Amino acid sequence: MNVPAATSSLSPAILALAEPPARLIDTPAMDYFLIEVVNALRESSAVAVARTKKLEQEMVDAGLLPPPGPSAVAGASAASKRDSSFRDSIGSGISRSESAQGKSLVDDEEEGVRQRLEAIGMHVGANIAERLCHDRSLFTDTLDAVKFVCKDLWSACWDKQVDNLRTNHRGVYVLQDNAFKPITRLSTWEGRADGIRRAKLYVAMPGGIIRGALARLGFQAAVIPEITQLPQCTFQVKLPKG
Amino acid sequence: MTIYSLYIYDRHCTCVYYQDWHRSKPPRPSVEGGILPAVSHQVNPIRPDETTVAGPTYTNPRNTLTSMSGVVVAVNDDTPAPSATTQPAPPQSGLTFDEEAKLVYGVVLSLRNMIKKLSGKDEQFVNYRTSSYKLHLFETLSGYKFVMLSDPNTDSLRFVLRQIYAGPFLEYVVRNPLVSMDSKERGIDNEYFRTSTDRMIRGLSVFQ
Repeated sequence: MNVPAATSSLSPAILALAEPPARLIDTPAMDYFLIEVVNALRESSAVAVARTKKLEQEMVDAGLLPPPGPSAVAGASAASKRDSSFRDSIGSGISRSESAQGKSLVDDEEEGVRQRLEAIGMHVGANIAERLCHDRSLFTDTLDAVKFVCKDLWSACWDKQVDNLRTNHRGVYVLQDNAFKPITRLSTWEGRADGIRRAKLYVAMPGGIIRGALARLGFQAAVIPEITQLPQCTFQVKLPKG
Repeated sequence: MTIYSLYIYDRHCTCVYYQDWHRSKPPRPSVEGGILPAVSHQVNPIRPDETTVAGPTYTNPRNTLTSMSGVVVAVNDDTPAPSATTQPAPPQSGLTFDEEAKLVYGVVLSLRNMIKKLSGKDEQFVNYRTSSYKLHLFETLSGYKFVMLSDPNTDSLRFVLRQIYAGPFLEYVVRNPLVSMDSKERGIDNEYFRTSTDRMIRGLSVFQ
């Protein structure tokens, strides 16, 4: 920007206040950090789940909980999943209860990591939205808020805009991104299906960012990320009507 | 003027990646435990219960029915290679892959050390040539060694190896959340890295 000669009397400090220099971050550095965040949370979730299981085992030993028999295994595993989503294994037959419990340990940890990532995303999204909205007028309706998410939030976080927005006009919006940045470089040796399964974890935080941004703006939303094909990702946003 | 194969070794002296384009004899699958998992589907040890290639098929001149032009075919192909049963397998090289990889690394390491002793630590081993191939080396500061074999008349391919490092390696290996760098238990093979190096090599003027 050329400063005209008449304003050369302004000190550089005032000029800097008028047009703050853009503070940029090196995106690879941010990516490396986020990779490590997931690894660290995985460890932390494993420790938390192990602690809960140990506690439960002690309670069982002390006789406060019914001992895990074949019919009570499903009950015990139901209790351990109290704070995570309801699972099919609870309704499963007795013969599956053993494998269900083994699988539920890994699922518990994965679910723990996912919840922590989403919680982090909610705080981050709320504060980003606060910053992005500081000079904006009020939202006229929910569609306006979703469009803000699609354009401003997406360009602030991932340098592009949402590729496709669909709605059923009853409060459900589907945001589709054909090359979602956090998962563009995700690739495994085992094949695409495995890649899709593991990518679910890495879209948990972006889902939380969307949810947190909408929550800070006053819209209680449920956000469900879905991946059918790398690197395409869709977010289903359910907003209450009005 | 063509390029035969590419090996990548990490700083723990193990082979973490292998890819080839032209070979006189296809590599023999390595013995169980000889190489790390995730180095290459082609040379993975075959377990006795596996009859067909389990992983996705990558374009490889040895596979029949895949494109022989320079363009990389879309990798959406999950059907196992039919060549396993339809035609007799071409004669395989005498060594298993893990031995071959160790030999290549040994050659590179010994030559490097010898040169440093002879001329001082500022000299760098760049390539060597025999009557049937030329071996190029590019070593990064982090200890990764990119080794490429090409036909004897090629000029130095160090710039190609540096391009592989600065491009596909940094993008799809370092920045890939699912690849653990510097692990002693896994290689770095993944789909995007393989297709992007393939595309880069096939696009070179020295290829074919």
